[in-house]
Amino acid sequence: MGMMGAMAVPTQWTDVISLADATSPATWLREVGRKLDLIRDAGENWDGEGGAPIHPRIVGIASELLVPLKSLGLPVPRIAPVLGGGIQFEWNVADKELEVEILPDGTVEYLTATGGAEVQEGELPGVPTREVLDLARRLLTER
Amino acid sequence: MSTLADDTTIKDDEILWRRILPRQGATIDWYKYENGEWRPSSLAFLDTRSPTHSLSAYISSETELGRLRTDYQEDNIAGFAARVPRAFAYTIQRVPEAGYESHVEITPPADIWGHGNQKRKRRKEAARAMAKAAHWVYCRDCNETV
Repeated sequence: MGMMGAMAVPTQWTDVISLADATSPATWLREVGRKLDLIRDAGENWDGEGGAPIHPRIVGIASELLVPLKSLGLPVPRIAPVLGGGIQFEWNVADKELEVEILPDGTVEYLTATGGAEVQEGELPGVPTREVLDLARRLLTER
Repeated sequence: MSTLADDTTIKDDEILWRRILPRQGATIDWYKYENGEWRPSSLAFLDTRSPTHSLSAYISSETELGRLRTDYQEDNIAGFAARVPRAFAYTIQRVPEAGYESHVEITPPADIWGHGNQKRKRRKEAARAMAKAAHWVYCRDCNETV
């Protein structure tokens, strides 16, 4: 291989991420996307009992809610399908928990807990990107 | 709609076995790593597929573990005492299934069927309690350390 070939090598390294960059928004988004892809691609019978695939609209809502959180510095959430067709994503940060569930009809509900107690829950309107962003920020800031 | 009757022949200290989907693919996050071990998430104890939100389980003292593992080779199995869901007013019914006379359904009280109005909160509280109380009867996915 000649020098010109060697010069072209850097274009092959666009997907390499340094350790210092491990929590970058791009990394966070990539991991979230990977998890949502697993759910979207699970297909028919994902629950082993003939369950219908998670509807793409539900995966889409999850994506809309999660993308704005990419720069908060939160850990990548656990993201999983709920038996019955919804998706839940959740974090544990210190003694605080946040769970957001998208029900099969698209309704979004949340639950917060501190120290395993002080549970609050509610339903959020529409595709509540701003509300979920606020809840996520509270994970990092509230005492 | 009224709360389903509780089968009192199933004692409070009876261990119920719940099959849990494997820690891979879409359900990889049904597990969380806590204090050096993999634990089932509360997600594994929620089910909205039926209007009653009933959970499938087996009466351990009446179930042959080897057969269950053979019949559901992909699944892991978590055990917890019947008193745990009952503490949240859940009731337990025998519902023989797929040749298992020991199969039961664990059903929330009727006032928390459906969604909204604190119902999810109460189901989540019960699910969290079951997840916390659960021990692995069998988990082929749980040896990996983080």
